[in-house]
Amino acid sequence: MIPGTSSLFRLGIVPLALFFVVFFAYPVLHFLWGSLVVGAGGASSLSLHNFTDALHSPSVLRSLSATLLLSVLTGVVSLVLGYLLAFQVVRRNAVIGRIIFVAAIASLFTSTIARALGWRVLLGFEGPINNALVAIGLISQPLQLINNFTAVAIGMIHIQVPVVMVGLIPVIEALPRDFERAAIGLGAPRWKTFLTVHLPMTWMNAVPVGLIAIMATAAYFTTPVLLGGGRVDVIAIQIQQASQVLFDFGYAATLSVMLVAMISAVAVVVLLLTHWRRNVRARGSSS
Amino acid sequence: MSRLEIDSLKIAYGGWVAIDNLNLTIEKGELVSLLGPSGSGKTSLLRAIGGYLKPTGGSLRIDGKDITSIPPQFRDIGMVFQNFVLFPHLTTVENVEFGLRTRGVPKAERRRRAIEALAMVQMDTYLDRYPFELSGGQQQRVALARAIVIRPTMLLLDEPMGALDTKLRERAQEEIRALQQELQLTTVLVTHDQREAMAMSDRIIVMRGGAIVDAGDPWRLYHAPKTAFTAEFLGTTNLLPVEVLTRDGNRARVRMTNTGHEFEVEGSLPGANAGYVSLRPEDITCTPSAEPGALPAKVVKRMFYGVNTHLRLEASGLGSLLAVQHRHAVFEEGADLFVSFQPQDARLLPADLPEGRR
Repeated sequence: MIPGTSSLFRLGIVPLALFFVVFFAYPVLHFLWGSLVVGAGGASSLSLHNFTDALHSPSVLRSLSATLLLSVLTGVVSLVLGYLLAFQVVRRNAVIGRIIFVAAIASLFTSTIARALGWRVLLGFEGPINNALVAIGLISQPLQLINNFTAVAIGMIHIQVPVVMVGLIPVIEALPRDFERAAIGLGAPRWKTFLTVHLPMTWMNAVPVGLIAIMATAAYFTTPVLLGGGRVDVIAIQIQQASQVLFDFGYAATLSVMLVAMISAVAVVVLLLTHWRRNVRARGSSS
Repeated sequence: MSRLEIDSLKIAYGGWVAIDNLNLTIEKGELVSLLGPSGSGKTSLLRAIGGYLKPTGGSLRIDGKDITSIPPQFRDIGMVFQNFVLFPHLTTVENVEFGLRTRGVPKAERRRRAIEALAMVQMDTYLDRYPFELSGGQQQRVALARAIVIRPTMLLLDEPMGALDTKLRERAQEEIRALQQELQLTTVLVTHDQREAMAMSDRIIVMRGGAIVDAGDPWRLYHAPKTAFTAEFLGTTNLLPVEVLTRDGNRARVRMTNTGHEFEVEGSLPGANAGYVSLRPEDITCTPSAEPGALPAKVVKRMFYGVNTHLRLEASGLGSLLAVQHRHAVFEEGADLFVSFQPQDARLLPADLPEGRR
């Protein structure tokens, strides 16, 4: 290629790059920059003061660990459930598969607020679940199912499972059926085929989809607010409070940076783990 | 090994019938090829034998035992898939051991039998290699070992050479055939390569539209096909559309429908007044000078293949013809020559079997 034409083509991305910088990168960086700026008596200076403050605050550390636990739990459970559902959609009875798929898509169209409020009804003190448990005599007193970590986790998993399922459908479809036929033909029952052939051949592509659920959950605000009843203080709630109640944007930015750092660390671990396996496979898939 | 009987088998996907009322018996130790174009039902039939596809009707029996409703994991049928589908996360020996592990064979015996099977395909020095570290030909051998190590009642081969290049393919055909004969394995081979089917099979089943249109040993099918479809599918042939003028025993006089040229052929095609004459390229004699009964022709295109040369001819009265010349006989492109053939080499055939006889 002639160097002149290639650099001319490269100029074509300038408008897009400008748009990205002006409308996305600049506002975000400006906000995050605020975490390093400390105003004291009219004069402002660069400082890590916000970070040392946050790291010494027990409530922030509690929030971070609650967020990490919630998002990793949601990611893992959604990955398992989403995988099983996607497997049903792709590999089993076409009618059942289609029903699952349509139900999952329909739930994606529903507002997350409506879904959280739905769980409030279901899990309520006199809600259908408690009533049913009392009616069959499993418990004598209604359980506290709402306004706690479990309720938030249930709500988050409910939101992430369809997303993960839709993401996993192509992963499962990409595995030729002949692998399963070969295993079954060699005498493996279906469950064993699933465990010894299907999972080992797809997990490294499936796990990154679970990562999407972890990342999305870590920044979630509505569900922890609506189902946590103030008892599940995730980092998103702290950020909202810092910026909209205390108007301390520097502190809000600090918390955002810490959230991003924590989730990036999780992402790096997961991707390194799966990338290594995939590299091994990539050499094999060329044949 | 085992005898397979297929009785009025029917396979339908929704409304589309892939296989309709198919009857076939495969004898012990026989290698039968299913040959046909895509959509002919050959893969569906193979999958039904393996148990991967539930027939809509009919039955399958191995040594008299009905296996129609037995799921594939209990059929004890070995299969080599297209692209071999070795498990990429398992080594060579683990791949071969897979079928023994599911059968609960103890570890020591498992290893011994796996190595034994790998030795049969000369792969026992590659035990700890992963599939991606093996060439296509080596992968195919491992896939074969994996299929025979379970001592199957039957062996199914689904286009097992499809992923190999031509050179390797011919050697693999020879080796698989030798192994199959040594182990006396009842084998069904699906292929769309007619050369492969002819070289390897005891019997070829020619399929079209979910039905058997012709069946027999390769020699018979090549030299005396029942239909124009078989003649064209097995090897190469010239198909000339004709109408029948007169019949005399097993001979007939026909007229080319497009040129009006009349000539004598083998076969009488009772009950029909039109059909095709199949004339194999190697049965056409090309001579530089006119001989009695020879027709003038011109070389349109010449293709040199080393072992022989293909000549695309334009013959007066017969139209476009393909002729094969041995490498010593040379005619240049554009050369004028004369073509002739013996009546017994020109076979009068129906275009296809009538509906009722399918």
